[in-house]
Amino acid sequence: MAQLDFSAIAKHPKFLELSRKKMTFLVGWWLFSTIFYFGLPIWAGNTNAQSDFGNKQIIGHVPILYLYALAQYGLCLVIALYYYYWANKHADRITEELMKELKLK
Amino acid sequence: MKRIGIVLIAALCLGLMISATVPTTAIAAPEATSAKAVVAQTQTPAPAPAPAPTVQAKANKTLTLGMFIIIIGITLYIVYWAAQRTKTTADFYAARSSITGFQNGWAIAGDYMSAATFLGMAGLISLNGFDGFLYPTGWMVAFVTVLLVVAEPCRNAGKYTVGDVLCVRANPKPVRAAAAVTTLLVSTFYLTAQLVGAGKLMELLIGIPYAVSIVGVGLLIVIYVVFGGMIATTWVQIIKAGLLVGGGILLSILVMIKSGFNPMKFFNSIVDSKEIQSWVQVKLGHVTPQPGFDYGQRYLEPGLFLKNVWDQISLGMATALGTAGMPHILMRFFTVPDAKTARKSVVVAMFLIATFFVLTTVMGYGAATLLTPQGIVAIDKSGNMANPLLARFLGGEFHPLLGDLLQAFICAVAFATILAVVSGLVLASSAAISHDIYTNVIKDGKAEQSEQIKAARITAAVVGVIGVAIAFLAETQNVAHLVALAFAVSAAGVLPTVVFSLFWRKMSTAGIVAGLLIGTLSGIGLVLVSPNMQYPQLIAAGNQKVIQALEAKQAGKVALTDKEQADLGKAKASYEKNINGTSVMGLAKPLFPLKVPAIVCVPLGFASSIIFSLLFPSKREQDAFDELYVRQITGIGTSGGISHH
Repeated sequence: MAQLDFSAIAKHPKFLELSRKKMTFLVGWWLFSTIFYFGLPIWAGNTNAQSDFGNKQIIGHVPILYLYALAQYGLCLVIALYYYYWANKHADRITEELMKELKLK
Repeated sequence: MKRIGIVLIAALCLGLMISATVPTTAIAAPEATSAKAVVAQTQTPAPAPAPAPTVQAKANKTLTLGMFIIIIGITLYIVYWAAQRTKTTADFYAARSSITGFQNGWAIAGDYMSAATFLGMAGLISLNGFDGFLYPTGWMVAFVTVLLVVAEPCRNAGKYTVGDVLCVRANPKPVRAAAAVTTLLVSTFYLTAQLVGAGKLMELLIGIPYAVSIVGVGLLIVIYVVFGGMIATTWVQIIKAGLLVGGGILLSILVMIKSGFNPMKFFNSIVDSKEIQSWVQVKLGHVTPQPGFDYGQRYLEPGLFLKNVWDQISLGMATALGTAGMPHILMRFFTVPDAKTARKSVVVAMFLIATFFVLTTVMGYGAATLLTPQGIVAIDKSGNMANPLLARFLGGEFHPLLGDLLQAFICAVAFATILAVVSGLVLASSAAISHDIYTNVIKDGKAEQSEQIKAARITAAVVGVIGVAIAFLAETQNVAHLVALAFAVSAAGVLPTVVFSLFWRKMSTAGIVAGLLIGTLSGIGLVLVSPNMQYPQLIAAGNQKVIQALEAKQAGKVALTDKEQADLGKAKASYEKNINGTSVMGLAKPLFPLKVPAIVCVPLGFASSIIFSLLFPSKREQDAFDELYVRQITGIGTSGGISHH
């Protein structure tokens, strides 16, 4: 493989666009899911009495806190699918374009 | 030669497994009766108003071992097939980067979900309701970090090990050495917990003695890894994941038939169960039912198992961040050809894991309503037997033989699970020693292919043997905290260094070494002074309470029962023995209040990576950042498989 000038690629507008978009997506969704997750042990740990809000029965006997725990799974899968869709549509496309411009493909 | 070796060891292994059954079949009958007797005894005084259904502990040995032998046969055939394809280090460590995204997704799920997930979680849920369900959420959420932060960059930057990713721009020798130490420690903790668990499980499930199961499992793993390398390990993991998810779906369907597939009816049956209500009442320590308290509903509320909120947050941190640093998980990303495939594989794995975790809830609750928590603890206090017992009960409703068959199948799934997880761990450990330490530190990366692969095979065998030896020594130890420790150390040592190396220009060799070592050692150090260790003086204090209470009773001229007399004697003896004792670290009581160290050691790992990088910066490493960053984001200039090695 021919020696590549990585510093030049790192300054390429397409690369900068890719890097910016990717970082915004990753950091944003990662922070959101992490905060959403740590809400669970904190909320559960502070739910003691049967009359507490977390124990309020929402659907039949299922309490709201239980639904929040289930929502963790939902969120994980939504993020997984959305990222998969986003990366195929945006990140991979920009990478392709960058490689074309660099004549690597 | 290799083929003869495989056949010989396979024969030895099979023989060992079969011989284990010969002397025990003779006593199988009395064993089963005594198990029944134990159940009957323990069920009578249980506070359940209705008698719990009679559950039999042991599985049908012939059927179960038959299934084990089928699994061993299939996996050994895979090893034989894989051995012919394992010629280079790229084959051995990374299956030539030729695994597809879909396959790797199943393999990740197989690598990740341990016997603890399958048996332990269902047990925890059946005994503790909501808290049992809370437990695995961290293990699920962890995959968001794996997907977004580590999977693709690691594929683009690495080759075989965590050390490869870390030393792209850093000084290779110290970084590889430190990465290997952390990898080995993390894997050993996890491996010990898995192997000890496996030994106890086999003893409980089918009555194979602890020592025989440890040696048998160890031997099989060594065969898989030494001869089949990553190709065999991958397929063992895929098969195991298929069995696991299949078994989970089957049991869940059988449970849900009872509620007509109506979730509302299912939850009603939990809350209305008289046995669950009295179980919760006993758990809460209420001698008589408190008026207005809904004990059935309480089962769906938090706090029956996880009491300390800080321990919960700390455990959440260890699992949610630690998974992304687990060497055996990271290694799976080197088996696919590119970042896009790595991404797909994580998404597939996430769906499998989420499905299985949610099914575990159905199985756990099904066990609680159908077998009752009292019935489950009567067989095993930890609740680990919930799933096998549930299988027997559900199958037995159609025909007794079907019950035996279904239980045997579930036991076989547990067995396959142990094999798959432990082979992943042994492979990761052997790669750390042979690829990082031997090839790159000792030999300066100048070892011949044949020499490298020989070293890899020898280390795999050595790691397997050492793992078995540790499991022998740890038979009577409580190893449950080792899993949390492995995740905490991985979150504190591996994750910060990997993330900063990939995303932060100023990360330097000093930061990597400091992050790895401080993260790892602080995690271990904190556990050594945590409540996980034994504190004789605290035991003595507990004994003293018993002594005082019983002596006060005696002083009140109330005659003690025989049992109380015996308890008093025991408490006094234990008090004498423990009053002047100290923990392993010479402490009277824990210095660190939490069981899981992550809440302290993870921030410490991140902070030391930053501080040491800023204190000891490297111009050369900062200049090399552009290359690494471009590579990890785009995959440009990445070795895309065997052709570039």
